[in-house]
Amino acid sequence: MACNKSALTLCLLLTLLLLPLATPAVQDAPPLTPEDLEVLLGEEVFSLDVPAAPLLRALDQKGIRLTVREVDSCLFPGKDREFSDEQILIGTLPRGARGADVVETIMALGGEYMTRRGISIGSTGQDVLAAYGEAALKDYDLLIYCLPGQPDGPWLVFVMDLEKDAVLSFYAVLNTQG
Amino acid sequence: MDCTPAPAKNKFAFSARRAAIVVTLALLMTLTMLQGTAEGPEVETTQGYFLTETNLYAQPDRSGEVLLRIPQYTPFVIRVSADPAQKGFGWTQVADVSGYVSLANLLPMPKVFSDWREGKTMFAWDVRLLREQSLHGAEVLLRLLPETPFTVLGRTKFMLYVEAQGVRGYIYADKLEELRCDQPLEPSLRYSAMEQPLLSWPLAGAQPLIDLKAGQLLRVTGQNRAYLRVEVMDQVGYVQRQHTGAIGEVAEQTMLVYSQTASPLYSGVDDARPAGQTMEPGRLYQVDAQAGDFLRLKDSGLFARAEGVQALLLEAFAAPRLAGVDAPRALMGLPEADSANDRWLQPGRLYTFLSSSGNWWYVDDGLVQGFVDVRHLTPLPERGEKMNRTYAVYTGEAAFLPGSSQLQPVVPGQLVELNELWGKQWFRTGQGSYVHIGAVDILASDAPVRPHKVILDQALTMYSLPDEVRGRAIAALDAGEQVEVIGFARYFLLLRARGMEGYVVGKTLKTHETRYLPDTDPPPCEILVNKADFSVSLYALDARGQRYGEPILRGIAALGKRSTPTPSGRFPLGYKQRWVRFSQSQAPHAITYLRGRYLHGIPCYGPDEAQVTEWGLQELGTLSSGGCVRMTFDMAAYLYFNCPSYKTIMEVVNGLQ
Repeated sequence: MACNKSALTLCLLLTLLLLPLATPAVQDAPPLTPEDLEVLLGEEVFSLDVPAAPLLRALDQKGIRLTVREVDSCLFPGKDREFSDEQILIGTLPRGARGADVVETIMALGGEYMTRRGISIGSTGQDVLAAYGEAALKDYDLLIYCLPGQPDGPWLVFVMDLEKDAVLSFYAVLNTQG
Repeated sequence: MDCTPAPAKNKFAFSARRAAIVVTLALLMTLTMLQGTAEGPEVETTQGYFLTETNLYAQPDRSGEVLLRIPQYTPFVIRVSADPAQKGFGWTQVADVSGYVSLANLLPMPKVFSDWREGKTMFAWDVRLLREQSLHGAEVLLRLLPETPFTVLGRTKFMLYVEAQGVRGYIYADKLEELRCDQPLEPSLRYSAMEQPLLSWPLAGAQPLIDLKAGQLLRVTGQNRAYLRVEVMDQVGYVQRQHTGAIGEVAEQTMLVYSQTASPLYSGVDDARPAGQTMEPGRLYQVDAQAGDFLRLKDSGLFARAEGVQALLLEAFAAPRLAGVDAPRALMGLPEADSANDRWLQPGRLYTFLSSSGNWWYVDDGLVQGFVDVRHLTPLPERGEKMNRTYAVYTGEAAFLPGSSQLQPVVPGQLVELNELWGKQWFRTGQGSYVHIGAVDILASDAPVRPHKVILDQALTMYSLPDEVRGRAIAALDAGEQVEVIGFARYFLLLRARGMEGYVVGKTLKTHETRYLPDTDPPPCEILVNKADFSVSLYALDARGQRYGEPILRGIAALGKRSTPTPSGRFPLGYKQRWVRFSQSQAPHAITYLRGRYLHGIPCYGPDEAQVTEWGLQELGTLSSGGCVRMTFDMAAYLYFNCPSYKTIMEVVNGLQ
């Protein structure tokens, strides 16, 4: 009996010792910062909450031709717009000076777009975990990260291919409320 | 600069690089000489350059094959043979290509002369390339960023010979500025207003000596340009004046100090009179003033010597932030500390935070003091949400007074009116205190309906509250009496009659407008919105608060478009509006679930369901809204009447596991 107890204690100790090795070091990932909401394409940096016009001009100069879809905005006088191609979607709300479009969403759907922490389409769930830690909210195929203390504020969201455990697309959104 | 600069740290790294360059050159020259030795005894090695572009030939013959065009001002190491067949040519190697160049216009390398700037420390306002030799085509050893200091060693006819960051080389001499000596200042105390490096020179491009933390105390001894010369932790270096602060000027920030040891406190600073007290090791003290090398502690008015303490600078919030915790959380004595102090934040209570250090929020309300990682907090938003008139009774024993974490005792069972929703878990009461959602039982919440008149077909009692037990009978209404219906709560209609407002049981007064008013209290329920199939389902909850069985009601919705997605998560239903006005339409039966985000019926051109928008109908089952959950008129109306606000949760998911 005493032997069993010792063995049990030893097993417990070993488990406790090995547990940190088996657990990914998610605590080490620093919390999300406003800079983490930027999306990179090479040396280009796409940011939220800025006038959309310069970004759209820059994309146009790079030869990236986006089609526009617009609907009446719920929250602001003017139109909500989505500028997109197969690889990127820029969502805007007309809440800038004199109704100017302001970037609300940047959604990477394909290509070489990357987050500040090096996650791109095709990165694995483990890559995301290592870069960002545990998601604030896991919703089926979404890994949702928010700024500390702002659960309903801006989000960085990874849409996962659950079969392949790979990032299918990702987006940063301000979650602007009225 | 105090004219005794702080030592550069990476001398070794650049010495090693320089050594590697020297060895490579030596090898090249040795190889050249060996080659010469193999081909003939009379070989001379020389260095030089050309003023014009030069051809590298495969053979010592101008009419032969040209291997390369070599830019002007490129330095060469050239082997000149006495072989008559190579007369007028020298053998050299450029990059990986070797060949012959004509010696006709070869110029000797520029010589170094002494210069009037010799020994001076200088800098440029722009980027400069430090080259290995005094020629434009020479290898670049370093890229000197603007305001990188260097010492002048001499000059050639083209460039200055300098040493920068431990590397010697040549830069162009135009538009340089001399760094003057520091002006000494009476020693005084300031603090670092931000995280920043302590620089070895009063120049932006100088090398960092150590990293300064925000709030770190600095002993100022001099100034140079826009920089202060400071002493900190046995180091002397420079920081920009604008990135420091005088302790007495701390306005938007709070300075805290602590000591690892029981440092003595002083009652006066002129003669350093000991107060007979000491600082408690590890405890934080707020500083409110400075006198020379002493800091005055706010609570006691006593002084501590700056050299005996370490300081922290906290950013004050624009307004106090209130936050709670979901589980007991230990308070840390310092940000990012490994060990907690013996104080804990408890769930169900509200704490007031006035400042933060990065992601660490600081609380000091007289009861608890310390830091907590904001990731462990549930902060309340900076402003509350408007509520419909809501009645509740206390079930807990405490509310919290505004602006502090102090308990306000309340009587369980006492009726309270809730005025504002703060976040998802806290209410502000009509008395201005805050109460946790778990410490009240919501009785009822009003919601408006389109005002309309009805004739009572039977006598009814009008109550002061939508509750026959707690409410006081305020009028006995007669059959045949006309009343105006203006809202509802629970299964009561809110009426205007006889110049009063009150509640009556509504089942005998229902009209099309109030057709979904329940006859009794509806069962506890929860709304599930599944973005994967656009479905909205209403489920009853079991005794454990879990959804069970088939949905009571199921319908389809238009959800947020890709750029304004309906957020995932669990949201308490809040403020109800019969019509919510958007920028270009209005929608019926709106229930707020986040600020500016609603469940509502199909948008209309005006406050009338007959003016329904055709696009609103077509968009059901698509991603098209601004984040709202848009449903059919009937579905929205049913949820409006049967899902009590502040008691019903809507969960939004992106698919079901």
